[in-house]
Amino acid sequence: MKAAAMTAVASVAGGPGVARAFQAPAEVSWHKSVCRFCGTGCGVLLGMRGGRLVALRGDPGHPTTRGLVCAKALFLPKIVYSRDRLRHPMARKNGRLERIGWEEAMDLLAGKFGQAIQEHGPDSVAYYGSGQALSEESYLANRLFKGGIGTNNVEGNPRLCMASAVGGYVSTYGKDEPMGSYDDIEHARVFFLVGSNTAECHPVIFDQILARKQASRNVLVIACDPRRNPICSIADVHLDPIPGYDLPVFHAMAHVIIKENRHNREFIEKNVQFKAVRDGNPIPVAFEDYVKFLEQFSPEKAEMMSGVPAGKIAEAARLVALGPTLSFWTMGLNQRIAGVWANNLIHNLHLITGQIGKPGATPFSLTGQPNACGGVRDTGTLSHILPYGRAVKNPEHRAQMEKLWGARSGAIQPQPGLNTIEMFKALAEDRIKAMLVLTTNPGQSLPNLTKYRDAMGKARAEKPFIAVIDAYPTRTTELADLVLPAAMWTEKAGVFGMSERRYQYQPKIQDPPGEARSDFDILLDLGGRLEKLGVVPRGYISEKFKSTDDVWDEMRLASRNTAYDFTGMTRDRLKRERGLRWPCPDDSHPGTSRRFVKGEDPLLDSGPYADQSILKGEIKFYAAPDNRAVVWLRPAMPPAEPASGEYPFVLSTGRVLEHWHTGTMTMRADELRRAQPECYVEINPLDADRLGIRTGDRIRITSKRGEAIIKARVVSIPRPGMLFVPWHWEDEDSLINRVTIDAYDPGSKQPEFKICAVKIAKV
Amino acid sequence: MVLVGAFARIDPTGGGEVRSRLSALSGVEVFDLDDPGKVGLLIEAADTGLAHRVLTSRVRNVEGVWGVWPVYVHGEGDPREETGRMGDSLDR
Repeated sequence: MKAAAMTAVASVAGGPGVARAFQAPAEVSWHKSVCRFCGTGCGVLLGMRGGRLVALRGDPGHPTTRGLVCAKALFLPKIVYSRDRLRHPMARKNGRLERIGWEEAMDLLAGKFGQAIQEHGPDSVAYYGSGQALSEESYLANRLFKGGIGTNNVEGNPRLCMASAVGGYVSTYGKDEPMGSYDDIEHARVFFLVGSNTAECHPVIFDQILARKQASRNVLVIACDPRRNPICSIADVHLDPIPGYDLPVFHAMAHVIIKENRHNREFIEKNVQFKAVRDGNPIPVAFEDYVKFLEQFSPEKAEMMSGVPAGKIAEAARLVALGPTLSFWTMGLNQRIAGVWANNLIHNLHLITGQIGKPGATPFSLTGQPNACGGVRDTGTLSHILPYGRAVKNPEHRAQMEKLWGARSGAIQPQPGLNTIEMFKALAEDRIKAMLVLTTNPGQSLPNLTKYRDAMGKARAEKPFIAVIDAYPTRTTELADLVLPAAMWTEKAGVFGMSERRYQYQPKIQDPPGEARSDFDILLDLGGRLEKLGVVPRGYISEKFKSTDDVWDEMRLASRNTAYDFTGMTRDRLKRERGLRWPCPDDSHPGTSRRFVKGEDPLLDSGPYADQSILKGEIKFYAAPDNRAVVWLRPAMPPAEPASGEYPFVLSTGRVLEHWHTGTMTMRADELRRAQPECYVEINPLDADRLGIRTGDRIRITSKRGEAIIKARVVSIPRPGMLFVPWHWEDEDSLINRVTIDAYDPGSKQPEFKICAVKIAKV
Repeated sequence: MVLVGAFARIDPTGGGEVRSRLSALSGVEVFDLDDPGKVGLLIEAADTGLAHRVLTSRVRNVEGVWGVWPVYVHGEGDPREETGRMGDSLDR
């Protein structure tokens, strides 16, 4: 075993003292797969012995993660075998969940949905899915609800984490998803890490940044975060704005870049347009208007607004212009009411400097879930979109999908359905009569949580019917009327699509426990039963698909001739290869590292976006209006609820290394739970001294919406006036989302988890 | 018994000293890798939790260690050891 461990390390990190070839322990069979946690998409090899998952190693053959995994992944084999895995369907009877058979469960599910649709119309039902379901599962749910039932009330938890990044990409470049890839890490000289605790939340990406920093003293890191999180240990410049006041900083960086003539005139003239919003409508403006707009954001003025010293802003601006610059960001930008605008301003910096579309230079939104990109964003499993860049509001797009799906003409409604927050409000107001929740835990993860838990669970004469499909009991299953046990990860086959547009195949290598079934099987069963009830056209689901392989083939067809084209990603190729990055238009294409670049992006060579007039290496933003990316003149909108006299602190929530999201998986590894056994609130020592608070004191955190009682951790990590609470714990006192605010970005509809006003007191 | 293979990314300017500090940790076996900025680590522990604690608390806190990445884990404990988080009840 020792030799196996050493060679595994050597094959990833390189070592002469040991054999390079991995020596597998006897009788262990290895299977190529993908990690179940974040959107980094680490390749893993899973060791099976005697039908049981006994080992996990990073896949050294993986082209981008190269054998690395983080600490959480080590525990996946244990998490799969957690004793409290759900094994049987359960229905609420006389107030308690009781075991029932699958036939009764599916009859109940289809019956409740059928009844609601027949009595109250298709918009009385809703689907709330997940960036952790397989792509085929999300696609099938979207197809069933939008084209079969005829409602756009189709949402997923990526609305809570990635929607503003989508809004940023779409409003700037015309289509979602990053144009660069992890390949750019190898070439970047400047890393701009914004609102991203990369070290703890994307550790494998952080290692690659560290490797670049080790390799050359010329590699520089700018960290922009109001917390002094672990990335600051390697940062050359740390910008720590008051939470919610970073937009002036980004504008001030643009101000410095242009004032010091560090912008790229040629790139701008060729590839960029400028827009502002007047009276609610976007209007074109000139470069000179942009320069004039930026006058209100000199570094000195930005310092007054953000608290970041002007000199640091100027230093960061010069580095970004120096390049090649790779920006990574996550929730610090996205979970804001100005989330789309904040994203736009990062794109602005890349566009005015031309730091885009060349090795090492790209803006790149990192993803928190393993399949938010491929499973929800790309398949269009949100209320306003359809698969592969199509929009609900676009009649041509609706017609394309109706034809492909075999739905009747006009089956897809022309208006977006309810977004996540509005969907749960509708549940509270009894406008939604039946909801299906799949592989997610809104009973813990929604902001302003008490309101929505009441909507899901409180006793009412006409309580909405809530069905939850999950592998584990959660704070949502306890509110459900029907709980269906789900297969997870190694127990089902399908595709995950991660942050860099790479789609990867995950094989089924073992059976699920008890009577658990895959989400795909459950959705397929539901579709067939709804057909029999007459609320979905006969044969619409039941005659089309037998396995996720069949769904994948239809998905490839749906992607053809779109900006996502992955026609060439056949099932066989995905089973063989370590993932492929779209566009990948034919089965001999190797996949695309950089989009929009002639010579790299195959869509510039053939198909609807082809252009033979541009030269190799040149950029064409073919999805944007007039083929030009947009630099937006966005006002510096403040947060919805800044600190005030009564509520003098700003609360921000986030993650820690050992846990993930609502802890549904990581809390089931005893070791991870022991490593971070309880929730805590970080308080700056200046604030703690003033209030007489010490580490270990129990603190009541109160907002206008609710309270939590959590132990203090006095540390110089958050800036003064800021509190930070990880949101992984489910016990009553630690449910920090009872405190957070459900105000959301008017464009992306993503809630402002990162900022709300609170007061604190020792208990 | 659990065995974890990992590597630490270290300050290359102080490689020898960092390596010595790591070797002094009990339960940690250090081996060389090609890259002077990395050292290989083997951690043997009674369970994965202890191994994890060695990595995240002790190795990571050694001066000159920039980060630690596990690569391999092998353990074949009794599945009944995993208690789950909430027991068997769905209603609380």
